[in-house]
Amino acid sequence: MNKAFVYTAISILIYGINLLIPLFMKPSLLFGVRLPVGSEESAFVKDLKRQFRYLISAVFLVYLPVTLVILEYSFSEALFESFIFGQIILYWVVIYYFNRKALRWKSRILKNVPTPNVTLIDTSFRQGRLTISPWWFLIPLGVVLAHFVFVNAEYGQFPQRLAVHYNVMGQADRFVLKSWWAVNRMPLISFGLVLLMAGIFFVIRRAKQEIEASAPETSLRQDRKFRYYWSVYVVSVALMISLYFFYFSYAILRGYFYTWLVWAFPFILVTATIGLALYTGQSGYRLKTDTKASKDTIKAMRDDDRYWIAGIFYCNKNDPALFVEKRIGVGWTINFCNVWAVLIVSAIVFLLLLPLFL
Amino acid sequence: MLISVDFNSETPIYEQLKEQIVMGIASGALKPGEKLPSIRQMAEDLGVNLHTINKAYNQLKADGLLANDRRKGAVVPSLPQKATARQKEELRQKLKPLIAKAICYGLSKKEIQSMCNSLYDQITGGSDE
Repeated sequence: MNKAFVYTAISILIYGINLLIPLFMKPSLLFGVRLPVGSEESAFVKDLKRQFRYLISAVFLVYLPVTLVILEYSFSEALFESFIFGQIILYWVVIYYFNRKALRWKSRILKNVPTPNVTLIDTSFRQGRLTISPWWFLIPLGVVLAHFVFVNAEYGQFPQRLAVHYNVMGQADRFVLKSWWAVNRMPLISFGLVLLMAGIFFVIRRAKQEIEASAPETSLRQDRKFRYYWSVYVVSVALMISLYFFYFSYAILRGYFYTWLVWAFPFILVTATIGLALYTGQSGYRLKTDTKASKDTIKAMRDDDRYWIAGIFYCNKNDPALFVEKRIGVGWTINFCNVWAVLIVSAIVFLLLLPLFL
Repeated sequence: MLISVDFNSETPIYEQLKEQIVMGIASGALKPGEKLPSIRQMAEDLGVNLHTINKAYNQLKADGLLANDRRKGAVVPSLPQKATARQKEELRQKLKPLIAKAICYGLSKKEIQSMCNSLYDQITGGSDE
């Protein structure tokens, strides 16, 4: 495998995920804009989604060859990473553009129409099973513990020079002398990532309810199922991470890797994530529930577009909620105007980046 | 039970909450002993200030329409309650201006009575005598 191949593969992956964005969108949202009741099936909505796919594809078809040629002539790892990051930023710009388009369209059709602003909640939403039990985290934590025990028991067997950085091709290119820190780095990072997954698990439990006024019963059950599936996913990912890092320590000790294993992990992770996102959809709107059409539907919608900057960042300083569901894509995000939410997330990011500088 | 809050309504949010919780208790949508969300959780789900929920819960507790459980927090009290003389007087005072308004609108005694009857049946599902 050469660098161009790895770059192309990652680019196609990012492109593919962005191409799928319209499929994740639940019917009541269009590029992060809450749709007026009854306009979900309109021609404009379908057109906009098609235009989005075209523009994303056009950006991809221009960007990939150009950056490939530049990388061919002057390769550096920093450039490689910036180009990957640049592609993501470009798609964000496209998403922002479509978010504005949807907003303008909405304000045009809602002109002179009094808009209600209704939020629905269920008082018993958090009773009963919303996620799997957090005790499942004991399994990945057990693996991390075994990892710690392993590296310290086998300390004498580790080589004098330990790899701490790998290039995009998966080859070690930076080494440090053996020390307690160097040997315990892997289990520490693994521990940090498992804690991060536990944090996401907590977010899934805590995040705001998403009930559609047009179909309260159905959307309520879908939201609950949605959280349950993703909580199982988060625990599974924590387990995979802990095993993967354990294997890394073992491979460092032995002196060589199975390359296929190194690649299998990200491959399985990405496939499973996209697969689950397609299966559930945003707020679980693709999940089947055994509810009959509810009679008490309300012909109204929540009107909170103004708190969503570009449809991506939620900023509402009057909202005590720390975590909310994303409006574009599948998952959750934080309330960027809530001091506590920002502090918690910055602390986590800081702790995760710490091993890079130690 | 589903609670809906209209942010564009002239009725304050804590009033909307109170009305719907009382309606839920009266109609049986909220069962005696049922736990209501904590103040913080309800505030986060609705996206409103904690004080708003606190105010609604406190006023309901003062009226005896919510009880405090040491483990569960706010719970629905058992029904029916025995109305105190003070509660009855309060209801009378609240109803009085409404009936006056109805009279001004030209409703007859019969019409007001039948309105009360049909609302009673609507809330209780017509099952109560």
